[in-house]
Amino acid sequence: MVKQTVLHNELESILGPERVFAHEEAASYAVDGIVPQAVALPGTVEEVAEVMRLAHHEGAAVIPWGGGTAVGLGNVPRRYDIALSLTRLNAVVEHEPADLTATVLAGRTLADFQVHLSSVGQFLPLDPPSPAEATIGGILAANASGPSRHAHGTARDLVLGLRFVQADGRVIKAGGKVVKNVAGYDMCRLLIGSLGTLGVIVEACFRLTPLPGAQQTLAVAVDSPQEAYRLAGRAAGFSLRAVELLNAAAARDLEGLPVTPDGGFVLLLAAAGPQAAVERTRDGLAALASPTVIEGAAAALWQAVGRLTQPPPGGIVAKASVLPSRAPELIERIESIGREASRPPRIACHLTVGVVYSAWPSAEEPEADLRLATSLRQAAASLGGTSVLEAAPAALKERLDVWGEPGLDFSLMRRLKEQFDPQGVLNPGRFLGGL
Amino acid sequence: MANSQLIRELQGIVGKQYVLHAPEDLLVYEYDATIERGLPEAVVLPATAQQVAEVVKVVRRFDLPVVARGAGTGLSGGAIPAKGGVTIAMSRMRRILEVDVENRLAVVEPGVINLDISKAVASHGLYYAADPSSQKACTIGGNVAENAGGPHCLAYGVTQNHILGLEVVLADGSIVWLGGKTADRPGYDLRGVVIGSEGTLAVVTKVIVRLSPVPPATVALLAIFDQVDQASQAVSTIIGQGILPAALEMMDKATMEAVEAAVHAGYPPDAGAVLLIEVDGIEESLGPQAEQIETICRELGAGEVRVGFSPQDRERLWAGRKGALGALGRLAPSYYILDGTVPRTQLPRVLRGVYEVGDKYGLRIANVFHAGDGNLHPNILFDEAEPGQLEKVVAAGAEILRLCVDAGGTITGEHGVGMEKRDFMRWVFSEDDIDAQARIKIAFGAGDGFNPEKIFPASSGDGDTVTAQRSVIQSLGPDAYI
Repeated sequence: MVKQTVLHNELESILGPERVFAHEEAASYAVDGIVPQAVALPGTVEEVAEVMRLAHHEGAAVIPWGGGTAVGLGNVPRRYDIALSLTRLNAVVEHEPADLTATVLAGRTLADFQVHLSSVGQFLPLDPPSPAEATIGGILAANASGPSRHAHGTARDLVLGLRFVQADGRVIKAGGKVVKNVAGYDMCRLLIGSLGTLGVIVEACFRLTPLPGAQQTLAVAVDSPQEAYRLAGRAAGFSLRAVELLNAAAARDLEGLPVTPDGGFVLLLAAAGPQAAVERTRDGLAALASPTVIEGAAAALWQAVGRLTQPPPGGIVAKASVLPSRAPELIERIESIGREASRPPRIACHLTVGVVYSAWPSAEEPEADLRLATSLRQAAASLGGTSVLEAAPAALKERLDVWGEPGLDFSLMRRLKEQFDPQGVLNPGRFLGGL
Repeated sequence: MANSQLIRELQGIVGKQYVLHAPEDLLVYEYDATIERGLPEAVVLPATAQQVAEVVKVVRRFDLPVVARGAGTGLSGGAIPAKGGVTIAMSRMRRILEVDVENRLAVVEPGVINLDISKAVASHGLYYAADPSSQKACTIGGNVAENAGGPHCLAYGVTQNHILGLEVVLADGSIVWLGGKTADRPGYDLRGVVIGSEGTLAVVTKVIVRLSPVPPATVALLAIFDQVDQASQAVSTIIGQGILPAALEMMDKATMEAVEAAVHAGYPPDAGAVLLIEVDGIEESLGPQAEQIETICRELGAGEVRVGFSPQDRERLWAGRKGALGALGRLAPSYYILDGTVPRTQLPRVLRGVYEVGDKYGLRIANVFHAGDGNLHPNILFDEAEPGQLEKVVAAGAEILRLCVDAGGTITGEHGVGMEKRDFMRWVFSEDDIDAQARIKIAFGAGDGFNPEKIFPASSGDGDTVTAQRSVIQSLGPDAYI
């Protein structure tokens, strides 16, 4: 533990008094109930570097902070001295529309970035939850994604280059700003999804996508996940941006969807592309099923789909990943776990990717949470997959690794962590295996 | 000189007939598609990951380096044993182990030829999307090592975007899986780090590839321009208007001249550049997009635009492009292929710079490249037999890559750093950046045990720069591709 007043004074000398919050003002930066000694709000990459040099020198534990939307992700921090807020680093550094690339600082929110890009008919095809709060840096650190990954993949497919500040304060460039680049190791992919444990991402360059000429959202009521899966398979040749399966509890939280009985499901499809392709997709789906065309507020609907995977107060969100062909069975097992626990979950599944989110209301007693987490993990494992708790009460997190059991590749991961953060000051304890 | 104890131990692992150590047997493993040479002390042809692991353990015990080798089609010296040691040739590990049609993936051994994956799954309407132009010969293991590109990266991405998991042998001989069949696996993306690491971190023994559905329909357009600048402008305009073609390739006047002589593609003799544009998707949407592209090209000065929807018509439009590199041999005995990438808006400026460099050195340069990606392949034409030419070519090549870097680009788009461009790494990365990459190598425990003298700049100044750059200078002949 670093002495609080010393740390605070040092941070103030770097950033000025108005850019450092004391412990008493830091409650909203708590992670799993732990409040940091200070919040630092640097305004430049160089200031981020100075804060990291200080932390490295003092052995102070730093949690990089964007919009705080994914703060539930990760194990309980082993130590937490400084919340390093990046929200003041929010400029678009460079955007050349004809190159379909843009470079942005990590603290900009996704929504603000999209506003900038849409003025020239482009967008970043990433749609994690809470775009108005989620920042570019946070999205990359968590490798957050959404339904659009059906067509566009994840951040690992979209980032061309990064700048990050190492634990010792050195500013490192990875990749570049061109769409094809094989010079050196691909450190971008290493940093994306590393939850801030290898470096603080301060800037990213993305490949962009033209806004589609036309879009349309269609909903199909189905009786079972298998039926939805078969339908998605037959729709594979269509021009789709997203293929999302919702259970009845999830569908009822959204407006404008077909009425769904208990045990029923809704398959939500986003057609996107040139006008002719969207029309062909709509007609093709109409020939396969009886889709409801969502008129009007489709964008709001998809935002609401994102919110389905946000935790209810005191609740749990699990993200399981299996082969797409196993997703229907996993969904049935999750529903069955919910029935047995009398604790019905909302389920939202990226059906073609095999990623199944379940959001669970809070339990009355902690043992129930542990039983649930164990059941979910067993269900995913028995189908050859993994299950990560993306949000859970701290009391539950203390009793298991939210990421699951590390595999044979873990010793490599530990050695990488030691190379990039030998003092263990970046997000200590929160990543897989307590990295 | 082969160490007899080493040879005996290797023979004990894979069997006598699968260890080559006689000088005449080693010669074919001395080179790849570059002209750099490096003789291994022995070549081992293992059949399983377990054998690879045992070989790595033995060779490391003798403190010799290991270099994995696929088909030897690489363009940066990746398969050259720069410091001798043992080459692990993957020619026996070429089975497709599993095809999962439903989940669109396949598990293959590293020696499988790229195109053979697509052939094996074609009946299911699937293919492997990362298509380096050498795909009839190159192996998937080599593709992974170099993070190979190809003409269809613009819409579909490079090798990195199509690999789900890797089984690898680490420097200590352990076998681990990085990544896997399912998405979003917890932990660092080690799979992503090994892809493109040019064989310096691990030996890949199995690859899980993502398969993609064959697009329902495709249209190809060939647009002929008077001026290179007009064609470059068309590239930016097409993409700026929201069209993302599957491929967008350019050839300049010198290339067209060679192609015309070789395959009679029907290019007008006074044309300055040709664009080959391919768009795929739902059939109904292709007609309007083809019209839009044709309009853009004509407005920017294209005198002729040919459009092909049927496979035969498209094949005919592509014929000139596919034969381009092989045809360059008609223009000069040798050529030096460069592989820089620039932001595509910089194409007109950088291309002008490329020709200026050619004029300055009195060298002719033919450009055939992935214009949509901004991935340039200037080919410097020369005659190695002429005294002093080689030095000029090397200097001109360096100046061109410097132009790419100064325009916001990089020194290699898809061929890899390898041996020839190690010393240019400092043009794009600071010492701290390179140090961070070196720490990845330390974490993998690889040291100089895997493919030494690749990627990282030589620590001892720039003494060997000129020799190192010789690596890509040669005439590749009629079967060559970029």
